[in-house]
Amino acid sequence: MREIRYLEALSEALREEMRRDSKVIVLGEDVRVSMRGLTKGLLQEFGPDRIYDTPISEAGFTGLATGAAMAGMRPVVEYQINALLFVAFDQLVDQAQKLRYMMGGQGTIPVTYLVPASGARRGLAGQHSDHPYPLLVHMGMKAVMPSTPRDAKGLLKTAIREDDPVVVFAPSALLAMKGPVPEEEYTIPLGRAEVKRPGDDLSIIAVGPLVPEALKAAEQLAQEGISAEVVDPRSLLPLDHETILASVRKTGRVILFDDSNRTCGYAAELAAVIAEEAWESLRAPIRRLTRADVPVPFSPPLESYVLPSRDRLLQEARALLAPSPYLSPTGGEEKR
Amino acid sequence: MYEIRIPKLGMDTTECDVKAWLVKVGDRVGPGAPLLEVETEKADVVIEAEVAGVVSEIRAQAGQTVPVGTVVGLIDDAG
Amino acid sequence: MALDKTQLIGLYRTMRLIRRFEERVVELVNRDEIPGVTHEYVGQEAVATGVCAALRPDDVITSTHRGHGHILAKGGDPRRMMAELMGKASGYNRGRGGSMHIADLSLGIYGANGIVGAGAPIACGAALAGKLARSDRVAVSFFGDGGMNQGVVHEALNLAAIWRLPVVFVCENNGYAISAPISEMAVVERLADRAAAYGMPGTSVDGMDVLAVHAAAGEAVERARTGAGPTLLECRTYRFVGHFTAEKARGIKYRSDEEIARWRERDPVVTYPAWLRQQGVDPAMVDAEVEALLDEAVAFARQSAFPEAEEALDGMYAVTYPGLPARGW
Repeated sequence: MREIRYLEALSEALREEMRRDSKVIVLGEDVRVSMRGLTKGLLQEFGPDRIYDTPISEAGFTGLATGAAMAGMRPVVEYQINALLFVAFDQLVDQAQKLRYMMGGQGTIPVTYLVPASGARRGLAGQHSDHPYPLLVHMGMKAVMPSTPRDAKGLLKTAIREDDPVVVFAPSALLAMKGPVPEEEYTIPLGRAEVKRPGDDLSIIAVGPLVPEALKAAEQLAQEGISAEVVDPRSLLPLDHETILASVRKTGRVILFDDSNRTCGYAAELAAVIAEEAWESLRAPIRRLTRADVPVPFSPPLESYVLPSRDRLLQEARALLAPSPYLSPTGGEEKR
Repeated sequence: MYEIRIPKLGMDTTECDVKAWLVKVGDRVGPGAPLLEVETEKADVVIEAEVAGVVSEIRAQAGQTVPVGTVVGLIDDAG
Repeated sequence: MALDKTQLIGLYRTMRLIRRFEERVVELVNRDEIPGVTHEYVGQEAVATGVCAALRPDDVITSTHRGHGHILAKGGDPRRMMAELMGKASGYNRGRGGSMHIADLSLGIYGANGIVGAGAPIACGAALAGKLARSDRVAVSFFGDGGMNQGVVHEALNLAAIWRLPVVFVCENNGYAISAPISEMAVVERLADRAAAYGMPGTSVDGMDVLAVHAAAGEAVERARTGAGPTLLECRTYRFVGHFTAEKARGIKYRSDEEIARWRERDPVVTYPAWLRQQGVDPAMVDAEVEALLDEAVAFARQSAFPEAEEALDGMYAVTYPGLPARGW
């Protein structure tokens, strides 16, 4: 199968959806020259009626996308950085996400919000490094964070075709990643997690840019005799509880490896679900590895310190699998 | 017959305490006349008459807590 | 745009309907048959009426928290509105929205809105969609003098101007943003002057004169329909009642009796029918018709059932998934 980069996979998805459906339009800052690379070539192929450079008015153009969607268009809105979601927050969570419900189910608001370069990148500091997906998921907004080029293309297509608002986080750490992507048409449904690597001793639920890190850690752990399963939710809301719970019930140990903040972060939600539904399978407490609750600092050693890392994951995994005072559920001696 | 009713006193106010009646049965009142004082979490409010007439009934006593919308008294505005 | 006798009477009918609807609503709020509070449109009827009379059913409006007038003027059904205000399943929004969110997409009513100014960019989006569909339909964004200070409204004005969107921005300047007089909240006295900042025409009109509003709105709508872009239409008006239903009862006062009385002399629901009679047009039947319609609306709303409690989880998503939306128990 051919291998293309994650960013290219997103571009393909958008281009194909624009060819498929003339109602798909793109709005965002600098999208015509494609500062972010995702919308390259779209102006040339589709013309100025389908792709709009917006002024620096995130609340304004987010609201505009809502109105256009209510009137039958299918807008894709690009935000150059995650933090612009904060600027547009009312129009996202209090307008676009709520209007259909508050209107008693009238109409649809099929907008896709695209953040191509989400999360942290070395040296961008506090206001350019956020990964605020819990804030949107908390308000009921569907959200996805693909971790491979194949997932990226399939999920972006579904997001665009979905008749509800969907936010697509495309982590900057993954944009250059190469991976196999089918040539033929395919989509990936929302609400389906994927076991990226099967294992028996430990479940690592990893999100977005942390998935490749988890896979590298799992490779290392395998050489140490620890068989780690890596589960990628892919779809943050709707979340595939069943795949995650099946993994935890199998291994009995779980580390939540998440790129949002700790307090009320995404790992907190996963932990609650696992504790409520799979507690009887747990042989050890649920462990969370998340960001520290500070703005991402600028200096590289400081930045590395506050973000979840492969090293911490390895330490945590080894600690979980070390002989421990916890008894297995049957009351017998813990077997590893 | 005009109903003296506790009006909606705020976005989230659902009840109030009757503090004191400023009129008694038999008093003649005109529009704007203060009738009773009530207390909510936000403020003390004086409820005024909107018609001219004679106070004919008092239903809620000082110290009672009543929901918004309750009829607490009557004014005979017939003649 | 010359109006015939039926249309002239129609303007009075709409204003009278709005006035009496709002007066009934106040009674119902105070009886707690309508939960919460509402924001009445009393005094401003000529603006909604004059503007909406210049619109077609396929034109779009976005409204405010003070939206009953706009919705009735755009053709909203008083029965379904009353039912919505009482939280009944037969209401426009199935009881899920209430006063501040009433919407009827089939009439182009993209909703009242509880966030000041939020409807302005939404109207721009509806306008863009119309333009792309090669339709000549327009969108009207209503907001107040207070709302005009909201950042997103400025963004919407600019977006409409740069993309030449068929939008009419109607600023209902009633002199107060809740209790704040506009003179303290803007240095510019004539809010229509702000239009120049965005490069669009700005008109200021007497908002108590329904014919003047209608004429000005008609011009702005025509400009939008013919592709000449957006207009800012300031309508100088006044609300005779408080910002919201409980204000008077709370004894909150920020306007003098003298000022209120002065504006009351120009009450459009009184001065306009008087003018009609002078022209030999008798709107006699209207008042009784309006009362009968409202009696029916209130009865319909009272007799309607509340929605089933479980319905509270419906309607959030067009595409459903198991477990979504999450319950709290």
